[in-house]
Amino acid sequence: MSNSKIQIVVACGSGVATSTIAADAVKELLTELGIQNYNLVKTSMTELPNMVDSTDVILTTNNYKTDEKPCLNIMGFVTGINEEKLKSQLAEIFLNLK
Amino acid sequence: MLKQFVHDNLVFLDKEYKDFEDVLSHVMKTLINENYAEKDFEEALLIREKEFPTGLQLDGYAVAIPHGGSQYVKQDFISMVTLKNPIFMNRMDNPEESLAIDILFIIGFGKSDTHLQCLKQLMGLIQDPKVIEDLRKGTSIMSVL
Repeated sequence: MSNSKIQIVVACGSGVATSTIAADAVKELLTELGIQNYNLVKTSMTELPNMVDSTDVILTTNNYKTDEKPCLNIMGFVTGINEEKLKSQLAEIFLNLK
Repeated sequence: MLKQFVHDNLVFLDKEYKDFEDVLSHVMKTLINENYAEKDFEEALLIREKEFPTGLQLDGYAVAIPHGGSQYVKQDFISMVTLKNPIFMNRMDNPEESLAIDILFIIGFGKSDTHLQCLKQLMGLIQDPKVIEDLRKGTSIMSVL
């Protein structure tokens, strides 16, 4: 892991609006954590299953669950509810992968 | 920044509709007549809402942000609809759960990335209970932007 980029996928229903907002918040958090070695892609929930294999972290604004990879609902970045808790959960995932 | 996408003719206040389909079919008339979207936008949004709902549970109230069908958007827009009586729509992060929605922001963006600031501004607005209350009372959305 240490030499390769962290592959992050952010998915929402259409891959258009909420994933854009959420992805931006994720990037801000990565900057705060001093993590620069990552590759973040946005996608739709329909495309997401095809990307699970090639990704390290799955973040969605929907109700997606998998045991294969670390996965987190990041709706809080869109609604602002429990955003701080979400940030610390996500930070833990990223720091474990680094 | 939002001001360039929110137009007076796309603001519908204190309306009575029975469900989202009903809301959309009314808004579509203006979207088509004023050249904001093609007819197919309507179906794209209905399908999208069914598969991936857009209801947001906020702090003490709920808002829906239907969007999608970007290929049918001709001019980027945000349409606001406030309802006299709430309609039920499903929750984005838990589609099994339905929410009583009394304000909708229908978002039509051809491409998302260029509109990040605008979407963030809209989300900031939606998260403010005072703003939502004012909008429901009929305060012009232009005055809160």
